[in-house]
Amino acid sequence: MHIPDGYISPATALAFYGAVLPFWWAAAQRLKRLLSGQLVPALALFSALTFAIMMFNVPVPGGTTAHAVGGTLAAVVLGPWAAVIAVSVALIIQALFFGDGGITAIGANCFILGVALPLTGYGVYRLVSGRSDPLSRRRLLAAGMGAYIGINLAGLLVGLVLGIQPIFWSEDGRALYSPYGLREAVPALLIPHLTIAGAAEVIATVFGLAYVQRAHPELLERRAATPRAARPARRWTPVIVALLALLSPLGLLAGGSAWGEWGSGELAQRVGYVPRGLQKLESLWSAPLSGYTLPWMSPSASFAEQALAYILSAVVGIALIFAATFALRILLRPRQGQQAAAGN
Amino acid sequence: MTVSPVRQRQRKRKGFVERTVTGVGTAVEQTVYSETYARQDGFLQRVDPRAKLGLFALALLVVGLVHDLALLAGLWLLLLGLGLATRLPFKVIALRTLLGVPLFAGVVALPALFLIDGRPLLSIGSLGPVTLAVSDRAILSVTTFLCRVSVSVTLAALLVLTTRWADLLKALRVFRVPDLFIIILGMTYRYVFLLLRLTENLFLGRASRTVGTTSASEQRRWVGASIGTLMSRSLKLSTDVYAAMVARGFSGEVRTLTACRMRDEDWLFVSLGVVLLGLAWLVDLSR
Repeated sequence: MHIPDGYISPATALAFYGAVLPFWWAAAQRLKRLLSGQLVPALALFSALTFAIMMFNVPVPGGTTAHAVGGTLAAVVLGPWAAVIAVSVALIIQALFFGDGGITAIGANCFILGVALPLTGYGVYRLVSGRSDPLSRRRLLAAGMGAYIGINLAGLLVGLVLGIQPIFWSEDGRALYSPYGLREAVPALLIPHLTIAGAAEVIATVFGLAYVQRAHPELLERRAATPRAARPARRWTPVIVALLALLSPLGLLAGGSAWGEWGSGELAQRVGYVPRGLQKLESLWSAPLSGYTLPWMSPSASFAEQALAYILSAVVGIALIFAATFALRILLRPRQGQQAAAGN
Repeated sequence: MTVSPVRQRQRKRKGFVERTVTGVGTAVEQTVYSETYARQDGFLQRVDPRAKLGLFALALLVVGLVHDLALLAGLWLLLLGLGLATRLPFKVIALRTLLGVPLFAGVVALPALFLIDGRPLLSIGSLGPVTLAVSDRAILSVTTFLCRVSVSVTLAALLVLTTRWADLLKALRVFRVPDLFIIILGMTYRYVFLLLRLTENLFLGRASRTVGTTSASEQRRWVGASIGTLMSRSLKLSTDVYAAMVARGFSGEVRTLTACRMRDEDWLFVSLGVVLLGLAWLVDLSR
């Protein structure tokens, strides 16, 4: 399910790099606190473990076998942030050293399989398991549900990412990247994930966790005992941002433009004249996603396409802001010589 | 054709054990071979890893941006030539790029031939109410897709096959990847092989112990148990490795040796590459 090189446009690939960096950074900060000096060997072993789990062929009902990602299992046993780093590092190693999955698509693959999958799976797991005993059967059910929802969300995201390629990046009807539209790409990815890949993921997660419960309960009890820093406001921020991005096409339903965001043409109509300074300023800059539509999209595009363009504009915008903030952070951070990165 | 339930189950069991063992074997073999090629003396192997990584990243970006089919095809030929010039065996290049890509991406792209609308060029027949026809746009789309994927995969393969992983890691440092991540990448790479070996042994052990057929639920339990075993072993190993690192003086700080120096030839390689890629991009823009 990795996206290879050449399947997605450079703009998509860069947006995903921008989206995944803040998660890596946040994960590194959390883990530095939790693991302290043990961080390096622990994360290296977790990543190698995830890599090995991805090599497992899991027998699926119906006689076939499929590979599991193990992202939810890793999140349950090792913790969600450790899972983010472990799956991401495993994917990077696959791309850089084994030629599996694209190098330009590392950002997209890591965001979908390394961030969205384990965090969603873990969220569902926590929601369903509640305050139950770490060794109870309810935890198994919760992990299974988390794994199933996580892997299907990943499948859906890959389908969406591939499906928007021909909508946004076509030239006279010729698709420049992956040629399938949403109508083909989403079912093509969702159907195997709802069935075979989903089953493999659930089997690996449930049976893997059941074994850990039986043979190494101390791993799960230790995690349950780890103090958690509760910061509800910060935890909800990403959800709210994502919701807002998804709601951005609402504006399409309303006529007219946002108050105070008139272009000079509209201003002339409303006020009667255009301040000369504004006219000059306006010619200086024309945005690449001007009007939140894409320059190569026809003006007669359907509502769904316009809505998608809006969401994509929002996602690209948010990703760019994240990337810029992140870059600023790196640039402004005082250099502490060669050993800057390691925590102690 | 009827298959008896017993036979069917036998085949199933063979399936997941053998597939995993083969998969692990192929992964290890491929890496060992690519290290061998990376150690050979050749044009690309001699280039400084930082120069190579930077230029190849830029090339991947340009290949992503180019619209023109002829340009993509030209770039591909150039890369194949580069692969041969750097003394990679033709078989390896062919296997990785010429055969692998059309087989995989070709199968992925095949249905698109019939799904994309346009001026029909070739009508194959009709399936009930649906007529199967290949349009001009469909052929263009699929050709563009296959060309772009081929060039990108060739680029990635050339980079991986001609650079030793230790050098690649060193090169990442120049691109401001934090040391922490580089060390984790390096150590992960080292332990991937250990854990793959463990996985292989688990599966081989099972294959040699099992006589007759096993039930599907037993297989699932066993796969779960192997994953769990691997998990607990690697967690224990991480504690041991940390203890060993502390015993050797590790204090939580990462120190590295950086002994790369760009030679004039490397600068020449980068400059020529950038000029070539810039030209390709300009030509593409002007079309």
